[in-house]
Amino acid sequence: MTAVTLPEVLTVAALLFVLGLVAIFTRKNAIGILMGVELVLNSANLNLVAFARFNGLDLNGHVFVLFVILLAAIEAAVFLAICLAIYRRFRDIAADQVRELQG
Amino acid sequence: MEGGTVTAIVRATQASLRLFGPEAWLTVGLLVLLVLDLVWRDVRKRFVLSGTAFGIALGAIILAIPLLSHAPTEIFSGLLVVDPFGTYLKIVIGVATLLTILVSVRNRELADYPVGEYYVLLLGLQLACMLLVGAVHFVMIMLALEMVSVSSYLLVAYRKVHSPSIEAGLKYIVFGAAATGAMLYAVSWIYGLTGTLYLSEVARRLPTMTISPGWLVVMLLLSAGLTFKIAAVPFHFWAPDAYQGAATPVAAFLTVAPKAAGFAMLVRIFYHGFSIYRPEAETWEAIPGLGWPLFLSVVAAVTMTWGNTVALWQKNIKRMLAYSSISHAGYMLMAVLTGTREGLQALLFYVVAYMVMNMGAFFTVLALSDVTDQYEDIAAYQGLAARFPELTWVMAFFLLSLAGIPPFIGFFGKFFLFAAAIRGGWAWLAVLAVLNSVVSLFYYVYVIKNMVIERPGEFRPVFSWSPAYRAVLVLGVAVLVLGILFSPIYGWTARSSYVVETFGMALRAMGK
Repeated sequence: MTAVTLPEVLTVAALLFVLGLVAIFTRKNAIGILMGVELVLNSANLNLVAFARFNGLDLNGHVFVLFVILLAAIEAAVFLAICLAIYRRFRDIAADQVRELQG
Repeated sequence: MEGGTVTAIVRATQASLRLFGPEAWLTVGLLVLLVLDLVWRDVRKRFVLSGTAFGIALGAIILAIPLLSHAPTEIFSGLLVVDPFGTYLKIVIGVATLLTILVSVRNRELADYPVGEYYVLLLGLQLACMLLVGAVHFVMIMLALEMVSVSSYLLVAYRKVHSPSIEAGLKYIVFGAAATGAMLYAVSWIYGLTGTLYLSEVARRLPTMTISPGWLVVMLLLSAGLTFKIAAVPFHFWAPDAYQGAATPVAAFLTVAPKAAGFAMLVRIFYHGFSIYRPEAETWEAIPGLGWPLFLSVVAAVTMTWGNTVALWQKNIKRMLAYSSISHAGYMLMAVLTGTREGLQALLFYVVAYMVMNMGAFFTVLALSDVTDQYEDIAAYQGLAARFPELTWVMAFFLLSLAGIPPFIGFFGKFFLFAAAIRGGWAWLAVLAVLNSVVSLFYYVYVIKNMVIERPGEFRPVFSWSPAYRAVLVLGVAVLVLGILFSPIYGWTARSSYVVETFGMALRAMGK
């Protein structure tokens, strides 16, 4: 079994990033969008740890990842809170059903 | 760890905390407000909490003023800087918070919602903006940026049984999450390619590296987060919805404070991270291969044109002001991309001008919301002049100032921006901006025309000395007086345009 190399990890991260963006822009369901956001954030995390590990960099990258996980949790909490409010109001969390503001 | 190192760390932290006064005060104030909200059960709660919030915001400004002349210094081992540029913007953000608290006290739109969390979020947003202004390390930038965003989402969606408000909140958070996610991904690549997260180190290492075409993608993704925060095209979609859906005090605050902080972030990243400072010419020269001034010039051109064009056919005044604020972001970008001290100075001046006139316009809408339900529809403004002559006068001042008509402060703000752009070698952009200003006159004057048309509108002739009304009149005087007596502020901006040139010293002293 060969060891994993940096370009391989970066490719996986790039794929995650693209998939996340696709999910954000094509998903109708708000929870689906949130999952896309999580993919994007984790692709950045994967990049950060991979660079720190393979390029022998300082601990900044690792610490950054911990902070990003925290940020993702905060964002998810706020996102779900807004989804709840949307559901109570519109009885649906499909993003394309929510459109009163136009212009 | 040996004793000497610990002592050194403690000493460095103490020294940092001394320069961290405004932010530390706000943090403590936030917690006090949160506790006060829990324990105070009384009919006077709304006023007590408003008063406390006002005091906390005022205290932050008072603590920031002595730092205005402080020499640029890095604190917390290079995570943040304290320099005249940042402190100036922190004070502007503080004043914007004060005004917002003042008009929120008796705002009808917020009357049915809990008051404690509102002020906690507002002050949290102020704190986040102040942190973002000083952040020069990518972790700090992302943390502060996300703190700004999250508090903004919550403030926009604050009226949780009001459909436009939560709808705007949802749209805002979807765009925001995508934009910050893209920016974070770009930051991870910057870390990988340069091996550092300190902006000053990025600037030191970049010139020795070969800039591959991949950097273009990195810069594009990075710009997603940056343009999102200042509501520039193509990441402006959230702005009209968010400003329309949010309660008017929140909308007024969002157009000023996070935007000012976003511009500070732009300056920090592009000047400190992607430029080389030339002390003899006082300019920041973009590192070859990155080409960010050209990129920003395209964004600025598209932003101001798009904002103005779409504003032309808005029926809702908050939407119209939202598109107008998008176009103003385009004007301000012009100052950033020059990379000169003059540009920075023009930016700092314009931030103040923009705060006075834009908040003034929003607050006029707010003052109207106290007396009528149809305060958002521009067509309903007919006959306003006969009923509220003072309000009509000051609204005309704000709108003409936004259009850049002398002698209001907006004229001088734009004048300095255009002058800086022309002298920085961006004449075509300045010409486009002037043309845009002419176009913008149409929709600003359209509102004024509506107000002075003699036709009995929906407004009942109720005169009310609400806090919003008073704030509007004060800003109305300010927009005129500051326009005529602009030189003190201009002198202030001249002293404050000193961004850290000595930047990265602490870092190098640490031996990194």
